[in-house]
Amino acid sequence: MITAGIDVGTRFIKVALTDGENLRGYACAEMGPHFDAIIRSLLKEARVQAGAGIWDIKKIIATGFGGHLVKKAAFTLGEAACTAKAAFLLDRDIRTVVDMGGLFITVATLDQNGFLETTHVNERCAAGSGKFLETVAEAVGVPFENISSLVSFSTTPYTFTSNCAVFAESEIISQVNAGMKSGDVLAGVINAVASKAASLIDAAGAQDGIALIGGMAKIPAIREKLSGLTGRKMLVLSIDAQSVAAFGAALLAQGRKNRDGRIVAEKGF
Amino acid sequence: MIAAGCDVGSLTAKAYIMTEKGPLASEIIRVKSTNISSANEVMEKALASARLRFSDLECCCSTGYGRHEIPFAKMNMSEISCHGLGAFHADPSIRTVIDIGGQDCKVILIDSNGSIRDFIMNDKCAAGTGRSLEILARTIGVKLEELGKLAVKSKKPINITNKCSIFMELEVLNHLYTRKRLKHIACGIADAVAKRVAGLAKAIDIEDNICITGGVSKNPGVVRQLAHHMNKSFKVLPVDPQIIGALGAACYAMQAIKTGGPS
Repeated sequence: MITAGIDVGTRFIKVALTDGENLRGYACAEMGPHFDAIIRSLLKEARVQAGAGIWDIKKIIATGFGGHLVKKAAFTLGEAACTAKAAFLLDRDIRTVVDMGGLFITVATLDQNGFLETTHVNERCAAGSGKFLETVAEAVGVPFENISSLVSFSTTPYTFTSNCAVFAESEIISQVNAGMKSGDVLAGVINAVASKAASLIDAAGAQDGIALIGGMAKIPAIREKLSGLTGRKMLVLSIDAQSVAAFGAALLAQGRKNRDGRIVAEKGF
Repeated sequence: MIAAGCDVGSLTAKAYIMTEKGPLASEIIRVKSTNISSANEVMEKALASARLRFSDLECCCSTGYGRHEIPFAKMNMSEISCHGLGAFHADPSIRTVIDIGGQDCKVILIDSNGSIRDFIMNDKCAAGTGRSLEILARTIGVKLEELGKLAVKSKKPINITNKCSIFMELEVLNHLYTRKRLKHIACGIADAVAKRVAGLAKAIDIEDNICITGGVSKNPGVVRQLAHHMNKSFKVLPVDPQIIGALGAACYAMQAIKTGGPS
């Protein structure tokens, strides 16, 4: 049975298809006002990858910040439940999932059976978020994939006078005009982002077996800085870090078999 | 005696020229690439409309975010002093000035001589400033000047719970996606900014006879919601509330000329 998970995040929409064990199809696009059309085309793209027809998708579960916007979904679940499910399926040693997305950093802890124990989310301020990094990278004109290589050359990371993500942009522009290297500026942002995540990991009392997922996990510099700050090893899952929540939602849409063999939806998260 | 004040802020630059008898000219422009070019341009425009030349100015005082860089200013004063004196000059009964600018927000208490008694400001976070309004107006695709007009049409502002401007943007987008009326969203945006300013004003014991200055004071939506949250009424100043900082600076320049200060 093919099921779909749709993760409507703060910056991107992710769609994953699964047959219950593997990620069969995955598509991702930026969030926009025509999200209905975006979701439709993403579902099609994922369906083509999975080689499945429109009627093969038996159930859709939505998750993420904008999960309630998905009209086709049977119901919506919290991101932490979805990421926990997917991460535990991919690696049985995972006890903590750190999801670094566009605006939220979520730390979820699991027990040895893969059940969600606690979740910790950052306070509601964009300082040190993915959006902050994106704004700064845009202001200095560095594409997202080049951030890590530039940061690795930085010797004197910049320290921001203002933490506010909105003010940082004008601060950066005047600093770069005054001759500051973009690598140093970005290294400063990476430090801010990683220290925010590190404090959340500490607050959650994370156990070893930490999986780093979400769009920001794709930046090696963040992973290195974060393991430097926490002194822990950050594991990488075998699938695209951004797809984990959508994959988890799709897995949960499979439901579980009850005693008489009928499939029931997995709720209760 | 001709004195001038030049206020270079984060989003606009303002100039004010006066004699001991009264005002001669004032001008407001959007900031240019550097503080110096903004200051030069705004002062040239003001001088042109007063039919004067740079050499006619006896003293010019600068204020605002870029006040240390202005080449033609003989002195500079902080924005807080200038807004206090400027508002006092415009209306001597004023005791509290709420200044909502492009990048900061301050509440200034003045005594019966126009000098500063106490103040409180937020310049750490964009919430409750003009920047926040600008970002959110862009998010819903409304011009900044029209946001206020649209906001006053609504009596039921949407409730925006987030404090951070970027999270607010997300919340506003969510309301847009679920097809809420634009005027209610506009009013919600004005309300969110007003709530932050009211929160700041609560931390200091304000006196009656309050006025609002700075660019955001031109947004009737924010002013209405602020009056509602503070449960106070505001005095309307006889001059453009955005020029108050430059007016205050010009008053300091005038005082300096009279006392034979920096020349």
